[in-house]
Order: sequence, then C-alpha cells, then structure tokens
Amino acid sequence: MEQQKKLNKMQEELMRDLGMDGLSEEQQQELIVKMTEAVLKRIFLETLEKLSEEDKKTYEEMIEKQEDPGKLENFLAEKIPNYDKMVAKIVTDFKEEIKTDLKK
Amino acid sequence: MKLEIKFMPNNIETNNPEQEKSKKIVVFRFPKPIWDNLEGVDRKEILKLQQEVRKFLIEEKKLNPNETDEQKILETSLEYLEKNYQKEETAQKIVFHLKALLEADYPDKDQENSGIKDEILLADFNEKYDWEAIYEKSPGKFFMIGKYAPQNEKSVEIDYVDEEGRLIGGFEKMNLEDFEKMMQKSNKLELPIMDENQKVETEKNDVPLSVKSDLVMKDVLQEERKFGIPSGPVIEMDEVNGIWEEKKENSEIDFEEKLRKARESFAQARAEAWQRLSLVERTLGSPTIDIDSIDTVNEAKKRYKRALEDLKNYKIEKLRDRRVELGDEGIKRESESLIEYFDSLNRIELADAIYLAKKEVKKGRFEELFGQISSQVIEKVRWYKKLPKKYQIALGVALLGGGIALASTGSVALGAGAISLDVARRLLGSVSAGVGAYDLTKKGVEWREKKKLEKSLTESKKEVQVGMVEGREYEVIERLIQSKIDETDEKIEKMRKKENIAKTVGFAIGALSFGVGTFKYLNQEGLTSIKSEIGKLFTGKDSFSPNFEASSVGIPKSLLNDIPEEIPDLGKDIPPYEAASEVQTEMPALSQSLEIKSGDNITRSLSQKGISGKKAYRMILEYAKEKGIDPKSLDTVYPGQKIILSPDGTKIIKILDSPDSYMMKSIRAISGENNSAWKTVKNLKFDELMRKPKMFKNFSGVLEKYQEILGKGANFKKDETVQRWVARMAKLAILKQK
Repeated sequence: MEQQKKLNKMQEELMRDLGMDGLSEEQQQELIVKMTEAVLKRIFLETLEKLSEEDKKTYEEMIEKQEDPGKLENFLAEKIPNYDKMVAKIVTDFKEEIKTDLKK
Repeated sequence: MKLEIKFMPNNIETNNPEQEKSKKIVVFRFPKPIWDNLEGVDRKEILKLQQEVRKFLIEEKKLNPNETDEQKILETSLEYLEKNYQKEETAQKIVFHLKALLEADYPDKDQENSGIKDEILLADFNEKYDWEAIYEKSPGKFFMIGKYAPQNEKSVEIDYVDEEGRLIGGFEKMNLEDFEKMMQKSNKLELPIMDENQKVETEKNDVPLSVKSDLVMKDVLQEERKFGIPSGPVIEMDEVNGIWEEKKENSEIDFEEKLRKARESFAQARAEAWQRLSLVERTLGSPTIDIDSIDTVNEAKKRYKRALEDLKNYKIEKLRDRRVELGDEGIKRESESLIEYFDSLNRIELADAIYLAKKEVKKGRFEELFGQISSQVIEKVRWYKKLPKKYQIALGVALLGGGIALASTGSVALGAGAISLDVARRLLGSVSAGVGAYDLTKKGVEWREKKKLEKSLTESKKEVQVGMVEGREYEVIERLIQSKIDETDEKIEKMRKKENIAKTVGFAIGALSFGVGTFKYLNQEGLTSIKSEIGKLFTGKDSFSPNFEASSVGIPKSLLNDIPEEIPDLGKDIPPYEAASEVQTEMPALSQSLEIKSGDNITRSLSQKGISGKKAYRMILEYAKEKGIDPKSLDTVYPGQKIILSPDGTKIIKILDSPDSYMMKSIRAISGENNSAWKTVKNLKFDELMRKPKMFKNFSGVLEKYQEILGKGANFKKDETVQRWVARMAKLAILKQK
C-alpha cells in the first residue's frame, strides 16, 4: 500500500511536471509507456554510439550470455565516462523537449 | 494473384488473414443441413456444442484437410457428442442429424452431384476477405467462408474448377440455370425432418435455395458473435513444414510487428531521401522538392498505411468478437481508445521513428545504425513492450520521474542532467498556484492544432455514441479510423514542417486533454521520501527478468536493481476519470458547473454558490442579452439542466439542456402547453398525427429544430409513437450536445 501510494505520487508529479496532469489515468499511463519506449531507444543508441567497436562486441556477448545486470552496468560505467549522467541527460532532455513544446 | 486452396469438406472453413501463402486456417462448424433442420432449438446451445466439438477435434488432430475426410470428422463429432452429451436434448438432436448425414453417404453423393472437383480458388487474395461477403457470394454449401473479405466490396467472388477443369466464376458470373440445377441436385438429400412446407415456400419465393441456405449459415455466424462465442479455436498450418497446430493468440503482436516494420521502413526511406535532398539543396539551393513525392518514400508510405489498415481491421474484428463480453459501455470505451490511438498515439511512434532515422542520417551513420543496429534497438526495447502493463508504467515512472523526484530533494545522484531544484520548485509552485496544463498549453501556435485534434476526437466520440444508439457502431468506428488513416499524408506534411518528437507528443497530449486539469490532488507531501522509495520499490525478484533486459539497453542499476514480483496496482487512489462525454470541451477548463435541482430556478440555483438574488438577476439579464433571447424564457428550467459559470463565478456562460428539459420543451411545444392535448397525441403514430392539423403544425416546428441538430436522425421511425419519438430525440440531442 505504501509503495502504491509512493508510486502514484511519483506518477502524479511526473505528469504535473510534464503538464499532462489533466489527462485521465489511462491516458497518462499510455503516454508514460510510449515515452519510455522512446527514451529507452535513445539510451540504447547513445550507449552504443559511445562504445568502441571492440567494446560493442563485448557488450553484445555479455547480453548474449545474460550476464548479471550489475556486471553489465559496471562494464558500461567503466567504458563510458559519466555514464549515469549521460542517461540522466537523455531523460531530462527528452522531458524538456516535451515541456518546452507544451509551453510554446 | 490467385491463391490455390485445396478442397475442404463443407463443414470446415478456411481463410488466410495474414495473406501469407504458407498459412491456412481452418475452423469446424456443423454441416448446414443440421442448422437448416434445427429451427426452434436454442441456437446458443448449438453454438456452444459446436465449440466443444471443435476443441475436441483439434485435440484429436482431426482437423487436417490434408489427411482426413469429412466422414471421419463427422464420425468423430458424433462419437464425442454421444459419449459426453447423452442426456442433453440439443446434443441428441444434432446426433440424430449427424447420423442421417452419415447414413446418406452425404459427402460423396453431394460432391458428385454438384460437379465440384477438389479445388477452390479464391480470387485476388491480395485483398482482405470478410467472411460475410464471401459466404454471401458462395455458390454452394461446399464452399468456404473467408474471414477477411473487403468489407465494402461486393465484387468479391469465389471461383471453382468444374469437372473439365474449367475455372467457373463466382455466384454472379455463373450461368444461373447451371447453378440452379446444381443446387437442386445438392438439395435432394432426404433428411429426416426436412420441412417440406418451408422448402416449397422457399421455391415459391423464387429465391435460390443456396442463397437461403447460405443466409441461414451466415445467421449462425452472426449469432456466434451475438452470444459472444469466439469463432475459434482454429488451427493453423505451416505448409512449408507441414505442421498443423492450434493457432497462437499472437495475432495482435503480429499486426503490430508488421506495422512497426512498415513504420521503420518508411522512416528509413524518408531519412535517406532527406539526406539526398539535403545534399541537392545545399549544392543547388533548390529546396522545393517534396520528400514524400519520391517514389521510394511514397511506396514505403503506402505500405505503412496498409499496415495501419490491417491493424485497424484486426482491432475492429476483435471488438466485434468481444461484443457480449464488453457490453455497450465497454465497446464505447474500447472504440474511443482505438480512435485515439489512430488519431494521436500512433503519430508519436511514427515521429519517433522519423526522429531516430534522421538523427542517424545526420551523423552519417545511417547504414551502420539502421542496417545493423536498428534491429538491435528494436529487439532490446521489445522486452519492455512485453512486460505487464504495471511493470511498464512503474519502470516508466521511475525512469522519467526520477529527475523531478531527485530534484525536489536536492539530490544529484542522477547527475547534473537532472532537473534543477529550482526548476522543480518553480514548476510545482506554478502548479499549486493554479496554472496548469490548460493555461500552459493554450499558449502558442500549437494550441490551435491541439484544439483541432481535441475537436476532432470529441466529434468522433459523439459519432460513435450516436452510432451505438442506432446500432451501427462498427460501421462508424471503421469509417472514423479509416478517415484518420487517410489523413496520414496531411499529418506527415505537418511533421515535415516540425520534425521532432516533442512537438508530436505535444499534439497528442492536446488531443487527449479531455480531462480538465483541476490539480485537486496536488500533494507535495512525500516527495522528499520518493528517492528512498525507489530503492524499496525495485527490490526483490521477478520472473520476467526485466532488470536484466533493462540493463542490456543501458539503464543504470541505480534506477532498476530488481523489479519486484508484485508491483501494486497503479492508479487505485486516483479518482475516476471524468468521461470525455461529460466534459463540455468548449468550456474553459476551470469553469464551474451547477446542476438545477428539482423545484429550483436559475436564481435559486445560483444562490447555492452564495450569489445574491440581485446579482443573479443581473447575470441572467446579461446572459439573455448576449444570447439574444427573451429573459422570460429563462424562467422555466428543468431538473438536470446545467448552468456553466465562468471560472470566477461571475458570469453565466451557458445553460445546458438535460434529457428532461429537451423532452418537456418538446411536449409543451407540440401540445401548446395543454396537458389534455398531450394525452390525446402522445400515443399516436406519425400518420395518425398528420390527421390533427394544429398539433401536427406544432410538431413540425419541433421536428425542424431537431432536424437542425440531428439531420435525418430526427425523422420518425416506422411505428414510433409521438411519445417515443420525443424521448428518442431528447436522448440523441443530449449525445449531440456532448
């Protein structure tokens, strides 16, 4: 119950942040899913772009082997400087694009 | 192109919904003579039994037209029913007729008589086929029912090969004499309780027996839907491997996957063309070439639109199948969501694909990223689409919402890219000050676009509602979605001018903004603890392993860790959505609504808001003046009517009618405000009313008004009484008003 409330609040805040809080619950959820898909694609592309050919190959092999998620993350953090920041920036850039557009 | 399909026994149907040559689908139905001879029997019972027999036949692997014959199928069906439904009357009746059919050596005799060889050709299988259309045209009971015929084309024909191997045309092309002879032969079966009178009557009516028979079968199919009995299970054959198996329930994924591929291919073609054009433009300074007029782009666009249409057809088909399960409200809800998808959300997907394609072209890495990696991107993100909805949302909220949650705590755990504390506070502050989506979005050029989409969706929803009242909802839904698909060119042109995902998302949000932003659930409490809750939320184990998959696309563990098996249902605490139909979209978002209660007038209703009588009177006068109506006409109001006030409550913006007010106004106008007169006319039909000149004149005035609102929908229906007409008009007018 506690988790549910927190999650609801997070969702509320996110929607309010993006100016989507006037939408119905279902519509909000649908947009979250669509936006997440778009962001995931961007993150993955950006990640691949930052890896060297050799690292890209290693990364693919790790995925093939279903390596532990922690190992994957360590690998990316090691190979890509400020990896967390990069991901956060993609997310915030995306959100800013939406907000900027809405405010126009 | 013609697709050859081997002959099926008459109780097996086949179709090819995915238009792939290697796939065929068969389903089992009881032979038509059984249906013809079971009049009066509860049809739902027959359908249920048919469904049970199908399941059994599939389990027994009897539904394989390459290996089995009708005799065996019928014998197995008979055996199954005799064994399992000994005490059921309907089953026993079916058993009785099955036995009769088997004893009459039915298949061979009929096949011989009809002259039909063992092949059937379906004309032009590039098109989609609908079972109704094909069956209607079906010349004999041996022929099959396709499920995916073009729904609006009457020219669909089924051909067959005669004894000499000649290709004979479909029903319309056939020599009628030959056809009738053939049908007479095939109807010579001596069935135990054949209704001779009915047979004679059918002949008297000069209706070809086959048509009558086909229609009976068509009715059966319609009834399946009516009773909510799905037409499956079906089995599907992979001809390459020669394997027959139960068809998997993944058609939706298939259609979506096809749409995705078509979209990607369109985006790719467009991006490549864009790159070439950019070069030409830079070199020659000629920016006038229309990217969508280039052949490769145009072809890809056509494929994309076709994929949209395929998905549309599939979705509508599913909606039909779920008619009973969903009920009126469910159908309304689902159809609205479908229209919204085709009107707005699919544009996000297209814009996203175009954005990514263009981005990579710009970098000069198109071949690498879209030749090889594009498929990886899709593969990597597909896991997300497969997650249960609650996981998708939880992950999305965590990923997208992380910034603001952390910002509000001042944390920089996600790095400098996160929204600053200041920005978060400003946003939250502006929200709490009552400046919300409405005020934000109405600014700027795009507001007009959003309003257009809102209006378009509102209109669509009204049409669906009216369609439901008139019993033609599928026709309306089909037409509306098709019109959205047809508008693709126009939408793409807009994208061409403003190509970025954010703008398109903006449009979609605008289009979806039916709910009014009230901010009543603004609650900053708890925001400060969200960061720590993220950790708690994503702990534990999960059978879907989304954590691994997410890591594979590069989502940091700090956001994911492990997703728990049980994420609570989202949105339980969110108040129910105010239905679009209940929102007067032309009203400002923060306007106030006041319902007139029984016994109240406008002044008394306004006093509930603390508005004094004097002030209320001024407001009424002002409203009447603005609308150009006599203030006295506002003396009479009815319960349920709504007074819409400006956000500050100082002005009446509109007085909305209720079903009661519509009805009462009509009754007063028709009767000349005379209760006795009303009693004399209320049960009259249209032709009877015409004989009462005064009342008819009054009625004509009311009819004209409704015709202005409803067009032909206002016309009298056969045998409708005045009272019923008035009630129907009120209902339709309210729907239209909404």
